[in-house]
Amino acid sequence: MVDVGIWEDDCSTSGYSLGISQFVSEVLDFSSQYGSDISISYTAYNITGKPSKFPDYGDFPQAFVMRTYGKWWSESPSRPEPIMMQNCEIPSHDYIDVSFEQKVYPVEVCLYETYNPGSVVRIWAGDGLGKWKLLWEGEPENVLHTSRRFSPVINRIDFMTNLLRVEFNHSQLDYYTELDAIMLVGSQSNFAATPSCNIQSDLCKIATQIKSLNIDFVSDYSDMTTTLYNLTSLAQQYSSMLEDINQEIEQSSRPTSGPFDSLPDETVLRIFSYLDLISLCRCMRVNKEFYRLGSDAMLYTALNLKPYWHKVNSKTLEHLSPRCKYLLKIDLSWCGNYGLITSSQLSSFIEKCGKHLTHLRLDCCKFVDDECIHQIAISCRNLKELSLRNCFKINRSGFECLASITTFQRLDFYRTNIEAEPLVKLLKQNPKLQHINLGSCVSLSSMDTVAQCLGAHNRELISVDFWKSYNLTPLGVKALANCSKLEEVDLGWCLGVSIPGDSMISLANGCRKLRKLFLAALRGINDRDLVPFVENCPNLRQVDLLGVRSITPHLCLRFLETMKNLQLFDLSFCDQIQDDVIQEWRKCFPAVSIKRSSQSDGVPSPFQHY
Amino acid sequence: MPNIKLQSSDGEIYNVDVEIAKCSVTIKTMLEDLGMDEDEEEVVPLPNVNSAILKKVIQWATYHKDDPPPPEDDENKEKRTDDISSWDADFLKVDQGTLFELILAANYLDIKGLLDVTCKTVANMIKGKTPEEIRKTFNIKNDFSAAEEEQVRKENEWCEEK
Repeated sequence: MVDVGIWEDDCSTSGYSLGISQFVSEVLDFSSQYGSDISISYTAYNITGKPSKFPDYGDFPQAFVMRTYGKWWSESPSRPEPIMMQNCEIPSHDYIDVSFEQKVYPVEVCLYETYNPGSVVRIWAGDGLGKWKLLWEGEPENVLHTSRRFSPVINRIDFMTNLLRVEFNHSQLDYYTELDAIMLVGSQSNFAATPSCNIQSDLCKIATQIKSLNIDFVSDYSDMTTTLYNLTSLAQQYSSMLEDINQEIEQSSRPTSGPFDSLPDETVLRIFSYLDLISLCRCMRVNKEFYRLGSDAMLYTALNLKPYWHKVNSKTLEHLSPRCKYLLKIDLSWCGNYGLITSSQLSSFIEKCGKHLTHLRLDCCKFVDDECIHQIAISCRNLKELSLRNCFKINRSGFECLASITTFQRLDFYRTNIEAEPLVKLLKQNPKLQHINLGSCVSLSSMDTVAQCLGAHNRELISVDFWKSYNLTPLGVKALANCSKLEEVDLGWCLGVSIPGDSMISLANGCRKLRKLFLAALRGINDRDLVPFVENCPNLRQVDLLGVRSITPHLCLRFLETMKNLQLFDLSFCDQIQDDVIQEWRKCFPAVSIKRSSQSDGVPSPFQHY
Repeated sequence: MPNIKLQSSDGEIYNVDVEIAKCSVTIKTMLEDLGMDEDEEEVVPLPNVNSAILKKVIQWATYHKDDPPPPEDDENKEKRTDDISSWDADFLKVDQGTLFELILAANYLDIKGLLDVTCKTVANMIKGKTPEEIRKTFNIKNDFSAAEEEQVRKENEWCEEK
């Protein structure tokens, strides 16, 4: 996977250097994928190696695809509430960490986007030990529907790397984005000369010039350097002395915190409450008064550390913990990997600050293990939300002890190893549960048991995500129909429901508040199964029938005509519906975003997504 | 619409529509508690607000008179600072002294909308700055000793540029 070639380097005075361009050798980590762990279609793994489809544009199973796109997910009933809106970074929804064979100083990073490009917002280089440097950052875009090599101008960094992280923001996308490959081009020597070298060489030049003047008193440039250095430091001392004197004079005539002195504490705290976490922590370094007010525990009730995953380590937790006496919500997702936080360090933070916690998000925190979960179960007696997406290290004993908490309203176990037995125990203890995500949980051996438990004990349920639960059967779906408050059901790729019997009819009759219904890839579902939704569920806004092959244009038209609230209607791979009919519907029903995936081998398809 | 008279600390008197004046909870309570008759020629003294600031406050309140009542503070309260309307942003293009006096006036008169938008404006002046830049912006004196400064730097080391 390593190509060694000659390329011109614009910094190097020698003109040409040996450069290395390589493609991904391994996927180390990612936050979501459309495909499942037991398949290769649409999985993160597909990003390894050279491009396999580029420059073709379209929907290819050989690419890496993530689970979300657009704003649909943020408008669905299951959307989590934002924590700490005052943070101002460009939000990112997903990431992938990839490694390459050889370490290099990066010169170029090139992403091969083969479907709906535009969602890359950041590219990072890591040293594998927790140090990350930003190579590039930009806003998400809605760009032309054509494949592209995305190769932004990147920052030079001062260490060699074979580890990249790419962050994505899907908000501008019309449909799923697909990535074919990532190329890293770099060199083995660092051309980004350090500033000291420049000063050195400048001094060299000056010294040579002085020499050429034949002045006797400086004959050696190193003496010249020393002299210059001494003079500079003297000048610096002098100016800082002047500054001190000036400040002393000023201080006698004015209070220390400038205009803030006139404000009551409460008002300064109000101002501080609008600050993002970085600005708030920087404020504490301004002066003693700012330190006192900036460490007020009322400013640390809801913390979102996810945007700062590249900066947060165990010391961060240690220093924040004295300020977190009243901590209610914390998002530590994406933080602490590559050895930056250990399980016991998180446990100790939870022990100190977890008492009042209502919301705890630990998505993709690979270090979270049974020990952490035990501590959570002991300390957080009021927890309403726990999100553990992609936390593989948690085993049976961890999930078992969670059942001692009885206040849960939202649980997200996407891609964890939770098993049916501890889950059922947990569900029975939590009658107030409103949202549960069990997507891609491969250790759930009997999804029907889980669904039956939900139907019997969790009647407050609003959303349920069973994405890729292969062993769910119509029996489970029928049990779920007891949850009459359900507004969102994702049964995408639950292939055991492919021949649904009368379970869809039960679901439509039982859950009349449905707003979102995802039935992707349930091939055996036909018109008869879906008519009851048209008749009973007038609130439906988002309907995904991707790959529901046998539905007819007649039924789709009934959806479009009857469902006054319909906004999203995915009809990709619905073989009975011709592309020209879709085009026609898009004109007739402009309020509905009708999705249709395209596979164009090289030829741009006229049927792009709206 | 009946008017009332508001008197600034330096003696200026402003005739203001009662409904506009009542966006100040302080004035509203005063009128209710004192049972002031709206027709009376009585003057409401505001000893904590000078005429220049009172004029600005009235200007703000007049523009916002038809705004829906501000939502109560709750745990989900909006903390974004990029949602200041362009009229408010223009209105608050004033020197720092005036801005802080407006905060004090909004605080004293209990006008939540004005307090929010002025506090957000100051927050935006802090956001993204280094400690030294914050000191410069607001003319603040660093009163930490060298040892204290080092300690505070360490506690917040994680948010430094790396």
